[in-house]
Amino acid sequence: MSDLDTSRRRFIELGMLASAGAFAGIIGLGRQEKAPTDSLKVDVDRQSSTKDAGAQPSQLDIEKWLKLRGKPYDLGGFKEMPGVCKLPGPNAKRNWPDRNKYKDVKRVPSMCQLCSTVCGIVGYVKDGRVIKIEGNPNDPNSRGYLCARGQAGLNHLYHPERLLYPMRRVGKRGEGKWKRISWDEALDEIAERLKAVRESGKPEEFAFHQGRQRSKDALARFLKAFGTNSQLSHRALCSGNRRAANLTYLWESDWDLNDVEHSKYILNFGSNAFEAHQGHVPFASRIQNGRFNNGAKLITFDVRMSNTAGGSDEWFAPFPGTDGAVALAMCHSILAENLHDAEFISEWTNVTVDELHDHLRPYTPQWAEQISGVPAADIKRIAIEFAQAAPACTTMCNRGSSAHINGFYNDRAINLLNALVGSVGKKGGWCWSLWGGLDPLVKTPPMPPSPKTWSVLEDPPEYPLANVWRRMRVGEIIYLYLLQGRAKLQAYMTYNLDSPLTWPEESLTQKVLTDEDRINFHVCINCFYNETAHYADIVLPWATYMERWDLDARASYNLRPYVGLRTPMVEPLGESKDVREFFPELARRIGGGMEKWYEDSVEEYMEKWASNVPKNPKTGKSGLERLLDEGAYEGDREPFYEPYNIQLSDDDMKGATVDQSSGLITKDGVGIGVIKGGKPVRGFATPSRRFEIRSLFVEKIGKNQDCSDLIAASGVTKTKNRHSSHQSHDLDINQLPIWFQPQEHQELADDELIMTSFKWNVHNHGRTMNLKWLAEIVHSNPAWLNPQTAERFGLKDGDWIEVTSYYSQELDKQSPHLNRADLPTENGRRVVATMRVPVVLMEGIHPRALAMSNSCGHWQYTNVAQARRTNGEALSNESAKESGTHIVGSAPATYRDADWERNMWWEDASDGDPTQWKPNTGNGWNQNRLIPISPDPISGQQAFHDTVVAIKKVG
Amino acid sequence: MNVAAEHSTAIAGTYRLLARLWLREVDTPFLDSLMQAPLSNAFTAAGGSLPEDASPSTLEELSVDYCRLFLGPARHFPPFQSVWERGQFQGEAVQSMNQYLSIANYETELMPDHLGVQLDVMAEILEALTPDAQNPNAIVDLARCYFGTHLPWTDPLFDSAIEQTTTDFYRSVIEMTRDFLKSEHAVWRASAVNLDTVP
Repeated sequence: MSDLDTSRRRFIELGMLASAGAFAGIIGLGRQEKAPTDSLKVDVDRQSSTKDAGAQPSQLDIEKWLKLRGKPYDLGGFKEMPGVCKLPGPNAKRNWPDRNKYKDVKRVPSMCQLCSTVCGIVGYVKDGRVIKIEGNPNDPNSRGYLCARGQAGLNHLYHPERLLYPMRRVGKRGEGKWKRISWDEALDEIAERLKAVRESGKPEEFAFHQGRQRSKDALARFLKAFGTNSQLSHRALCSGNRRAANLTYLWESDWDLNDVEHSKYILNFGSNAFEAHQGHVPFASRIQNGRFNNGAKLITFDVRMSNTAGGSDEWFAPFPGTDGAVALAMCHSILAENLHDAEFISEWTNVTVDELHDHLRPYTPQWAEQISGVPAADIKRIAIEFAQAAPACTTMCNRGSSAHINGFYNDRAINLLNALVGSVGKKGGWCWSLWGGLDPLVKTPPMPPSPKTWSVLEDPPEYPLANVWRRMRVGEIIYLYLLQGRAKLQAYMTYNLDSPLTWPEESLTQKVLTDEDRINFHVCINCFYNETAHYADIVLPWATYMERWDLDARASYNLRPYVGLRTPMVEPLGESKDVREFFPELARRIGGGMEKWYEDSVEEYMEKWASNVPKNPKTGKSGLERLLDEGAYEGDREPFYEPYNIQLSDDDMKGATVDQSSGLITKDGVGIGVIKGGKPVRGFATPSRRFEIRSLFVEKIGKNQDCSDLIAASGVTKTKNRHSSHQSHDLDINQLPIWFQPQEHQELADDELIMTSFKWNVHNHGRTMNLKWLAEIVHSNPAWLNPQTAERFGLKDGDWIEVTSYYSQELDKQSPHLNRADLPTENGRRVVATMRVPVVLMEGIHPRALAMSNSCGHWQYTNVAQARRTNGEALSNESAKESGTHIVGSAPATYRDADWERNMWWEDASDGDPTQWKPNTGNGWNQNRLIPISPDPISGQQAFHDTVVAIKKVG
Repeated sequence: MNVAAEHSTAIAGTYRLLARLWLREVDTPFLDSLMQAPLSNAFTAAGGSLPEDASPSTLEELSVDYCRLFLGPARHFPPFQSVWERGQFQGEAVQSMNQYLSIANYETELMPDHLGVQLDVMAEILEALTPDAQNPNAIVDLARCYFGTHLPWTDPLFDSAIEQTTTDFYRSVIEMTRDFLKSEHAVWRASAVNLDTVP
């Protein structure tokens, strides 16, 4: 008898016993006699579903089989099932193009969420699988364009290392030991913990910490129903200063929407709009339309030659953090050349031309040249060109100017240029809209009342502009304040957040996340196991944006509101779920009234929410049905040009009072407009109803003075008079745009540089390096150095340096509450961290700057993000390489995806030895190891581009 | 009767048992039953290695090993055909499996190309090979095609996972599945059906 026969006999014996008697009842988990309707019930059913293997008659549909078998496909034994659609790959491409690939495909319009731009997309769904994603031409903002990230959504949806099941930590926090639990177990445990927090009388000790989120209503509903305001975000790591600067001028909007498509001159201060702007493709495509269709000139100031700078008509590399100085000098030149719009300044700003002359007098182009290095002649020339193009001219800025300790003033100064030339609100000029999100025609179903809790984490009193107009918060201080004992969290829920990678001071973040005394209980909601999930107690598998619902929209560059739909293209994989699905269940388990806010199913809720979307006369569809059909709806409002000139209606004026001396119009004590030319118009939504170049409000709010009269006059009554807990946290904020240089930049030693940070067009910081199509394009981030700088340090391309980063002296002076005595001191500077990286030499960077991109250096977040092809520990060891187990799906014997076979060339085999490292291999380095926690003292914006570093050659 | 159809009910039982082992980590009732003779003897005779007890700590250890091997969250080996053939979820294997599930009237909320589901469906097909089956040749043909399409992909998964197991139990489950499928492969390869005989 052969071994095989013996073995088979044993399996027959085993099978006989396994299929007999009671044991047969506890095997057979796969089949379900009936698909459950309630998704939460699925898991319960799955676990209890049993089948008596021997007891049921055959259910085979042999007729069906014979029909398939009878088709002219020769299976020949071991081949594919007939009619199966091929995915991209070498085998599929042999017969490319597959004429049947898009046969019987369903096109599902939806919205992307691989970055914050949320472009319209269309998913091609065949047999329950998404086989292609493209842009949705119906989306009024993105107009059918879709970037590389959006295309890589397929990697995101079908990534082999996606989280599919809830898990509970087994070992110590951060040890990486887990076991699967059911959704019931997970929700029971979370509910028990949250209920205890709620009943402790300190609901604010439950904090929800979000990364990129586009389900604002769902999160707010849950947190309000629970009773906590501790909703933490990354806004201060992103756009706090730009928003604060805009708000000082406008009050009603924190987001400038530069009308670049109709512009003739675009002055870009540090924005990498072609790659990394929040407006991304909608904005970039309009810039190019403006240039090619309208002849617009694009001038870029950026310490680094970004792809935007490289694609501009002119590029200047100012000394880091001096954008505001250049802008003020341009303002000076415009006034000096008498090219200002005197009428706009007089009619629509709250300063006189004489006041501006006085204020701008010291800011000469020569002064700015000394500070920035930008030639005075160019500053003057560009200022003149800009003014001559008015009103179809606009500035644009973003993190390049705002992510500095002086970023608030930088952006104030840049915005001033638009006021001087009268391009504010004009076609082709510097615009904004009232609609930062959804068209107000869609009404969110009734929400719970807002809680009254306060937490130092959510509203740190030291940052006067962080929370007065908008809840911008100061995200980067969260872990520091927890470490310093200024707050504690009984429960912490993270959502689409990768703070160990994206927050400054990686080691501090890790330390706090590990500490169970400071964070008692941590639930992480994510699609992938990232660096945050690594420190969680329970991980919940989140559905991807192609498997869930939202109504969504961004501030539209059409300057009119719209509403788009994110809809499940396919069922969530595994047991992954969206918060819309499990928050109601969690609320029911917590009880105490929370449950009453969840009476509708998700579909019912969406139908109610979208019910006001009007009927499309062509299709007859309205509401959710219309959005499901088209993906987006945009009304026919006029674009929001010159809103200050919009006349108030008779209805508006009914019961209104006009102040005869100022012309201000109020109703019930609240400002609604101003008299201009004898007519009541809307004006700006500021206390003066003018574009507030001089802001009395910021000065008073910095001093915690009562601003209720200013708030009422503006009509923006949601503006907060600072909370009583802010008293004694005073700060001097200048009423006018000024500029100052941080102390450490003034005293920069010869061997020191300023580290700056940037983002690539294929990545979005912490969330895309796991996608192989994108990781192939960018996976590493050596430090950029100017060749002049390299020569001074004796460096050549590919050499390694040791970078030591320092904490800001300016912040030591201005923000003593940060109390960074914990950092060791070296040569009079507080040392944050040291890291070794290779350098790449580039002319396209300022000689006093060192640039490292973000997005790199993952140590979790899938093997792709870590550039690992095998699970072998020592890749430098040849035998380990040979025997190292292949990671998911990369076994060359079976793996047939050309992308991977061809492209996983970037695995780093150096084993950490710089002498063995090959350029463009590995997964890079986390720049946030070096960058200190560094909030602008006014708004709290993280200063990502100000860090002073010392470098020395390794070896 | 074709050789592949011999002992089909018993072989289906082995498929069913292995399906259960792959679909979910063991729990107390299952492990208690598995550890009772004569099933325990048959299990070990077939290459299985049982833990010393079914205590909570043992179950936890097994759950952790199962999770680390097949569920993640990191450096794991998802037992899905698409993952090992296409490097992603929801490859062609899913579309093909859906057709076989339809033929087998097999409804599941699980991802259909999970090895556990695939083993369970094979059991389902074999169980139809009863002595009074209406069309045994067609069933054998179906079983053979199904096996050939959806069960030969597993060796890289087994090889990788075996290296990373920390418990004898799961090592033996993987090895036993590998050996069983090897034996089945030989049987089905030898069982070519003349299409002319299929009505």
